[in-house]
Amino acid sequence: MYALELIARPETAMIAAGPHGDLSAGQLGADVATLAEQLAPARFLINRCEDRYWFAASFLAAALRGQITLLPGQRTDEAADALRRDHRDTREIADHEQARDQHVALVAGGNGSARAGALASDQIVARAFTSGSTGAPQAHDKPWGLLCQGRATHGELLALPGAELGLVATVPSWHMYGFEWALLLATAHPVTLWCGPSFFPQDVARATAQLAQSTPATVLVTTPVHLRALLKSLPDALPLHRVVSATAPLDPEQAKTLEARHRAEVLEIYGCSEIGSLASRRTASDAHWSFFPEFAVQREGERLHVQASALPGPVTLADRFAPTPGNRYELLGRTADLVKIGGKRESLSRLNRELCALPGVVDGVFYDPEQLGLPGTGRLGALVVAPQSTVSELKSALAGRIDPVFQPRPLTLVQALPRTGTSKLPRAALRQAVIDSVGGAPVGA
Amino acid sequence: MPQTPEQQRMAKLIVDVLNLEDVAPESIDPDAIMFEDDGLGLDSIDALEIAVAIAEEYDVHLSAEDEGTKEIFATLGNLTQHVTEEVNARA
Repeated sequence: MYALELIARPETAMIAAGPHGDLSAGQLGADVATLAEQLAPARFLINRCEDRYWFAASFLAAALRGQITLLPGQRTDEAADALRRDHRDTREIADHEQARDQHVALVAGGNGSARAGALASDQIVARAFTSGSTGAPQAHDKPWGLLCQGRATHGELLALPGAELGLVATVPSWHMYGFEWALLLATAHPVTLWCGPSFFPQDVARATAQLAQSTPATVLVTTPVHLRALLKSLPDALPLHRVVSATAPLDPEQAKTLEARHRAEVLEIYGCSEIGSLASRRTASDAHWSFFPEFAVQREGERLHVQASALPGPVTLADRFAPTPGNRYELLGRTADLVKIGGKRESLSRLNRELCALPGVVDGVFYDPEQLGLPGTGRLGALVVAPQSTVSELKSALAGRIDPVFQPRPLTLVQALPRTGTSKLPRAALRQAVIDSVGGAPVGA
Repeated sequence: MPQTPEQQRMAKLIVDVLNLEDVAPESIDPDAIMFEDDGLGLDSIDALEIAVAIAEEYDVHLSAEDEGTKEIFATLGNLTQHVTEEVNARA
């Protein structure tokens, strides 16, 4: 056990930009100290601040007070209520008019400069929850030391030597990915966090333009869904140095287009809920993943066991990998996605990639009815969003790309897939979508 | 309330871009909240898709910085009014 600083930046360094103007690391330290004194006693805190600066101040203050921040992953009152049912002694904090409990602006703010202090590496500071792609939500505690190891390596991956970076994130702070790749980075690297609106393409354009005035390079932390919207509605290059994408697989062709248009490297992050970000690759030119140096990776067949000094024990990844030269790994697919039809093995992820790459397909997913608890006939089904295509066109296009045993029976055209705000497709929602569009009758009849 | 011609055009855009095949554009109440389950049940990613389509169709770029983005997106009537005002302001 050892102590690690909450904010490892000089007090005069700029840490946030946005509607409240530029704010320094010292100002954040002062706000953290004030907030830490005034937070109501509680074991857990649900942080619902929209502004990244106030989210950071509230999280750091809670940590200083020994409170565990719960990351709901979603914005809604319902998500917060569900957390409060499972966690007794929980308070909330928010920075907007709809705050139901503590309001951050009422307890902090003003001019000041202070250091925020340090925490023991084994102190649990946050609790994240699995998004439910593979079953019921599960809690994952984050020790401060593990988060600090992450912020160190993620920063190295992005940093220009000696240069200040601006950072615009389209993912919320209460999602583990936004938490790690925006908030935490700014607490330890020469990174200025954009704290204004960043959801719509126009917001991203405005934010990068404004940051470009004060920082030589800007990083965009985002998802494939946002990148698709950016490509469609912003034809001009943005002043970007790097693009970071996670939460859903990024199409290599899309990565190439992005790199060409913005002259920025596109990094894709692989992670798991138990730990967080684990590995990265430059998707446009590299199919293989490099794990971050803090992780020791042990291979057992296609399974990987990941260990780090800040983890209590090894974590076995749910996905299957094959080793490739240079200590890197090829992602073969999710273990839960492994399907066996007619004696042949295939990964649902690969099938989904082939399906989504077909001309006219906007979105699509293969499913194994039996894995969804529905009656099956040993065949896969697929839900496809392809407004201009017919079922027979799609099936003949697929025929050239996948083994015929994996042809979906049926292939059903739908208006949209029930993806969450971070592009994930929870099992329960997929199951309901199959029932709604295909029916509860045996699939493939 | 019947839709104005501008609202009809916007309703068609929304139905087209979100592939709401089971929704008739003319059936969208200009004053109904689109993002609630008893409305069209749209979510934030739908808002992103609508914003992209509006940029293509009207060359109007919506932003979360606009005064009251949530209200703008709340109803067909508000969205149409905002976009129409932006287009007129440019003319």
